[in-house]
Amino acid sequence: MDQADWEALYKGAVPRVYRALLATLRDASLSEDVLHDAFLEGLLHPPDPANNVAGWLFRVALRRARRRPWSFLRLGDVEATADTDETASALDRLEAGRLLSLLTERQRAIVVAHYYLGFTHAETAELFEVRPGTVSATIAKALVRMRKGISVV
Amino acid sequence: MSDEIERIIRRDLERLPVFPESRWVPQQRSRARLGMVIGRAAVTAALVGLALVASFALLRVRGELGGSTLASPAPTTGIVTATESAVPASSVVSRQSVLASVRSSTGLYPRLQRYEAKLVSSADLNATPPLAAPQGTLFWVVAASGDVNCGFRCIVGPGETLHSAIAFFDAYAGALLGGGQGVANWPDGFDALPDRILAPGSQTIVGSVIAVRGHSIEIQPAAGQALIAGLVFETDENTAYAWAAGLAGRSALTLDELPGLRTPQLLANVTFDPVAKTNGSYRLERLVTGVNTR
Repeated sequence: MDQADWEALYKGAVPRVYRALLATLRDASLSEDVLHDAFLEGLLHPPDPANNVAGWLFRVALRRARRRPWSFLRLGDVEATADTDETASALDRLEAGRLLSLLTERQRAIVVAHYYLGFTHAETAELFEVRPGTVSATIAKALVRMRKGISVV
Repeated sequence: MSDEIERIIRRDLERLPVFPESRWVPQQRSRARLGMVIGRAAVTAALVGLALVASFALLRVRGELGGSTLASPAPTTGIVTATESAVPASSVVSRQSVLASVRSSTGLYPRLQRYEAKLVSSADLNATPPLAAPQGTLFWVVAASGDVNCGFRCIVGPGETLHSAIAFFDAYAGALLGGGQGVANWPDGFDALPDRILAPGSQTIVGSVIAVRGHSIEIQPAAGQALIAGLVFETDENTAYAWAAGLAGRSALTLDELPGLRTPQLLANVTFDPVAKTNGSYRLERLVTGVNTR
């Protein structure tokens, strides 16, 4: 796969993967940055185009976010760009954003992969390198939390 | 109900705005960022190399602690030209105050095995990926390993646990500026940072602890080193302490917390400012004690 092919695949997945990252990480600036990192990773080590590119980008971006906890925790960067602030606040205004905020980071990642990106339990398990039973249990716990959130609306 | 939740998630997330398409591909930065990715690999390789060198050095020190060989540079006390420390210690909060702050944060760090602090500039941080400087000029950076909880918006992957943490303090005000946690046993990049609180030309010797009196500790340099007579070192709020036994080292906050300090002939690795004080003692910068476990 050359750079143009990879770029086309990547662009086709950007909106969904970015939204999934934003819903999981709850940080617009970080989501954009790690998505860029995933794109660059794809330039160096292109994924098999037969695989789900969105899933590959989501996984790589989340790993990137986890591997650099120091850089995105700079509390001095309070002058974040206005557009990323607006995006983050948009998430907070949505019911889904409120429900997802009730979950842990891990639960959000799995719920978003399953319910938004549309992966099956088995695919989600493969994505996060856990057993399918772990995915099922995580989603069940997340649903319990979110149901309580719905009931108080 | 799960169908309702799925519908809400699908519906609402589709409403989220996506950043402008002109930024989807980091075109302006792609070449630079690509270089950075490769650069990170090179840095990682370099750090691995440094770690190996450090490991061999540690093994050698352990050999010294066992009393078999002596390789530390002999101190040149009495003939050292006085030099100014890169950062006057009096102008910044102390090493021990930031270490105490981290160690007392038991909610975030329930049990710490090892913790170290370094005084660094923003340039030092920005030159050491993956670290990056917060706003400011001079920082205490504290690295820690042990049991670490998730905080500061950290991200924990499925099945992963946190083993290390890093925290940035404003060196002048002592305020916590930020921090993070990681799954590795020690924060990446920390060991490559310089420590600006150390005196230029700091010396390290190996010796036996002769006596401890308050904030003073007397060390008998091991045989084979240039010095024969015992040396007196004075601790202060910027002295670092560690205990090395077997393969597991751990840190201490004060001299009193070092175990076995009264043990006869306890071996120590001593880093100190080679410029003697008026009373003939030396400022102790780092003390690593341990026992011969072989």
